Amino acid sequence: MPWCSLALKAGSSTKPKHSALYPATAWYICPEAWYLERAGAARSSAGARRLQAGSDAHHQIGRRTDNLHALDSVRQVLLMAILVLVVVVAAQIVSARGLFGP
Amino acid sequence: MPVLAILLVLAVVLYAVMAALSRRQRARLGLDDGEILAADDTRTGVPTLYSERLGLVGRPDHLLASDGVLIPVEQKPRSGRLQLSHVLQVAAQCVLVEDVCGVRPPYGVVVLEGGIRERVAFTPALERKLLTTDAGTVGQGCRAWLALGGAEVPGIWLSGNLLV
Repeated sequence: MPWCSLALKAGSSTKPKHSALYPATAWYICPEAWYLERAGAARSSAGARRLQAGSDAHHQIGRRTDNLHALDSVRQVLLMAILVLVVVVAAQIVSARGLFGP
Repeated sequence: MPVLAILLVLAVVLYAVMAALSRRQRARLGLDDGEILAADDTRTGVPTLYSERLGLVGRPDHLLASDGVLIPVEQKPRSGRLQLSHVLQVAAQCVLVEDVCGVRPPYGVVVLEGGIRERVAFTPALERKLLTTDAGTVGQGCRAWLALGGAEVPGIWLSGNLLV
């Protein structure tokens, strides 16, 4: 798992105890909710609203996280461009002043 | 050369603006430090962690890498204060990360309403409390309900998407 290896990079000598992962298909927090859903129990309107609000809030957090990733990626590209520009400008200054010339 | 110099200055200004925006976004998400390795509800996604040993299944909202360790983060955007259930939930995520990766997170993070960040130290005492709490964070009565209903349950689901 890539993020596991990232964590282990710091020099930890421990080994993973389990590697089994469940497919990310379920979103139940509670066996009770899981059972009620399977049993087809009706959800109260207040409960449904709360659930929807919580779900919307998490979607929003997900969108913000995606935006943050995109922003950070652009920043990295920009940083590379800045470094290249610095080198080019420095080289031009050096050659214009003839520092290495006769 | 002046063109390049102007371009350079513009790029630096743009970079500074973007860095400020990034810091602001991170603060709003309560993710001040660490690299975001995985995030639920995003294009990156986050794996569902499973511990056979404990019968726990969970998916943290964010997984951060900070100083060589993984930090699970639970988002509670509709909660104004840290509750015991939040503490136990993030402790369960810590247990799962340790079980799957073999590296013990020193702490987990709960992000409350307004991006307020609460660090929860993952101490042996908290782990003991979690493991001795009947059904932990999943709420009282779950086991009793299941005993009555007799349903088969894949484990205790811990996700950030529902109220605890």
